[in-house]
Amino acid sequence: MTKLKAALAYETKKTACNLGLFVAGVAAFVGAVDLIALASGYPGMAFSGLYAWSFLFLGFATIVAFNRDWPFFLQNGLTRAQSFGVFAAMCVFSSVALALLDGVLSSAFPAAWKAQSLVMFQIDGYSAGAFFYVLMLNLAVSFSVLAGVVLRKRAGALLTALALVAIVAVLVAGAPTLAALVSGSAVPIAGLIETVAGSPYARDVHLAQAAVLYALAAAVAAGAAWAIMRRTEAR
Amino acid sequence: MSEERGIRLERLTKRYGRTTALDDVSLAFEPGKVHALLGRNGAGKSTMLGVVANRLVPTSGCVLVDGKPATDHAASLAKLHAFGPTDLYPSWMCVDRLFRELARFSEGFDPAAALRTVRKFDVDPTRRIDQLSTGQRTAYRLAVALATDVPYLLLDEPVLGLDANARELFYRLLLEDYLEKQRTVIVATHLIEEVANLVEQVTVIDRGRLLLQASADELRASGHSVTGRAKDVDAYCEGRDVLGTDELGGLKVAYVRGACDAEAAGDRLATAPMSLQKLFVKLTERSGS
Repeated sequence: MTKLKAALAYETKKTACNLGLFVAGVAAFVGAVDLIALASGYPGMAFSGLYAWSFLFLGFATIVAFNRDWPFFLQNGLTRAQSFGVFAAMCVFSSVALALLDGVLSSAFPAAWKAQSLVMFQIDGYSAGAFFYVLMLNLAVSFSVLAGVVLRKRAGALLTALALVAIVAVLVAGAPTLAALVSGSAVPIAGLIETVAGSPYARDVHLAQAAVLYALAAAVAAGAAWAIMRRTEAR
Repeated sequence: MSEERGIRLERLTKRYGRTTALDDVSLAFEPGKVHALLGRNGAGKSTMLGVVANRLVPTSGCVLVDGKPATDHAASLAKLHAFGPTDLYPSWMCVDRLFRELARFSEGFDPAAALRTVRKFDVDPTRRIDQLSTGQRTAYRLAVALATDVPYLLLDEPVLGLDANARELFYRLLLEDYLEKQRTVIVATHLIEEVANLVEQVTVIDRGRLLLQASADELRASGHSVTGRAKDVDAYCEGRDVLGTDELGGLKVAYVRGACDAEAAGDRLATAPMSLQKLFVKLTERSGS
């Protein structure tokens, strides 16, 4: 078995195990709270938008995997390109797994899962487009966190925090500025923001547009993660 | 066509911000020998081995392993195993599980041999890494290094935290390993006298620059010490390359480069070959001043 295959197997096994624990943990917690709510006479589920919790997993799993395994991989003689490949595969694996889980629950229990899904309250019925939308959003989250955690390793916590603040400032200031400068752009920009934010009030937009935007964000984040990782060290 | 073997550094520079840890260093580690990499604290030893092992990225220059670039080249990296002062293995793992995982990463790693070695150091392999003492952590990593069959073994401060018995054991195991495998071993250490009898080549770096590189025998023969009354020692040193002196009361010791001149020393001065440690101390003192 080559080092790359060994690293892929190691990371996939670990991620699958953590994902199983996460899903079981969330199910146990939600089930327990629901039982208590039902016993107290509270009607229906005590939670909604449960799928958003998966972003916690994607973020946490990516941070822990990189911090623990980046030095381990370099110690074992993997190149930075191979290590990036392993972390990218881990991001894809967990994103696909969570999107599939959402797909299975949306298809099997549409009525019960509607309040928990990201897309089911925006559209009627689950489709391949919805799966693609959730998958791309998962990938965007995973790769953005990966880029952030690599930047932190490379440049330190302070510079990373400043970079994140700068990105948010550019987005927050950029959208209204663009809307003010370009006449007639306010409505499309508002629609874009609503779409990206997954708002159920987004008008005249399609899930595919948002999915493409998320795919773009995931690609940019993955590219940034690789660019930073090329000179990241293990000390 | 003869294939180039060994590790070669070509104009290697490594900077951390404004600090230059390695400054345009070019040198070669010949294959099949035990090398001592010596230098004071902050001289750049760990940085040099870190760059060779691909943990650190050089600012400029390159490292060649058997004539091929090492940085981020899988084939070259497969020929190396680096033991560093920091623990890069997952601390939540038990030692025996780590050995099983490492066997998947490297075909040259023998987990059974590593287990035998770690037991010799009195480390319980069923314990988690983060529950081990500093010396035990060093021991399990040494077990990994010795059980990994690669042509180049880089050991950065390999006896850190080990007690005297464990250090003796390590040197014995390293010698046995070397006699069996005849691989290239580079040992970066402060404990010069402890490795003096093991090493064949000595490389001294100071403030990120190469100070000297020679065989251990050449170095031992390259200098001597003379001891006696200050006046007699000063007379002996006249016109010679003196590396340094120590004085205690009226007694003076001078460390002199070159072969001993028994005639000039006469009966009034005691002469002795210079130890590697003393040579290193005097060389780096002179370099610093």
